[in-house]
Amino acid sequence: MQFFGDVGHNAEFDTISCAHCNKIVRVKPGTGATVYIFEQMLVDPVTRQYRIIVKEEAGAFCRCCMKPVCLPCDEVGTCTPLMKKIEEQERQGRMLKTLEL
Amino acid sequence: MAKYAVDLQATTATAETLGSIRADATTPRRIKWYDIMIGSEATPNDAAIQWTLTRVSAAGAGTATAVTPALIDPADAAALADAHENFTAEPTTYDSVPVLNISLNQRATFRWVAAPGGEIVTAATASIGAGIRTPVISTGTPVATVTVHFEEQ
Repeated sequence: MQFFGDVGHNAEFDTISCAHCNKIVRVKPGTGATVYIFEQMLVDPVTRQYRIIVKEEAGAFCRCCMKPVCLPCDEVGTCTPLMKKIEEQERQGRMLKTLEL
Repeated sequence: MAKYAVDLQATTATAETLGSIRADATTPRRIKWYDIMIGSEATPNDAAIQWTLTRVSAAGAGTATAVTPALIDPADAAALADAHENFTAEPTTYDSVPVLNISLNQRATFRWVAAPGGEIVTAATASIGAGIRTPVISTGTPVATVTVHFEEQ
């Protein structure tokens, strides 16, 4: 992902897509996607000023599908690859269409 | 698998949807988002905007203006997916966790490109897709445009 424009220097970051939920996670360069970076924007309700906090967390890897996953999917602990979820969603859609619901 | 581009533009507001791309109700196809560009053409201002891309299910599609996706390759057929912008009534069935969550200064432009195999995929089920929202805006309601390149499978 890239940030550029009238805000000073341009910035480019590596990302991974979670193999279970498809979430885009920013990774720290040079870590082999083992360190994830999270940004949180804090807005002061009174002054409306904002600041962005950057946190680093150890990454996660699913040893069933052998792909990187996001931290919430890692906490779930089971492996349900994204395409399996997509296929289940499509199967339910076809069933509902057959039942004319 | 044809590729398409669509510009979604609206005046942003807190907790409102700027645009969405969904599978067609009668001929649904899988949609794979592989390039997203976000920027604001409004007068430059120091506003902080949180952008999210969140999956949305069929029910409660909201009220919006239809947008026709453009062909990347003119030899391909027209897109079956339904793109919408400028929502006046919000969709009601967003997932709780966004797929993409970005905090951005209004002056900045953001671009995400999928690695091969890392595209954001939505199911080939009627009216299912994903929407781009602005849950937080620190000040003002700037006009913004999101350009999405997607593949229909």
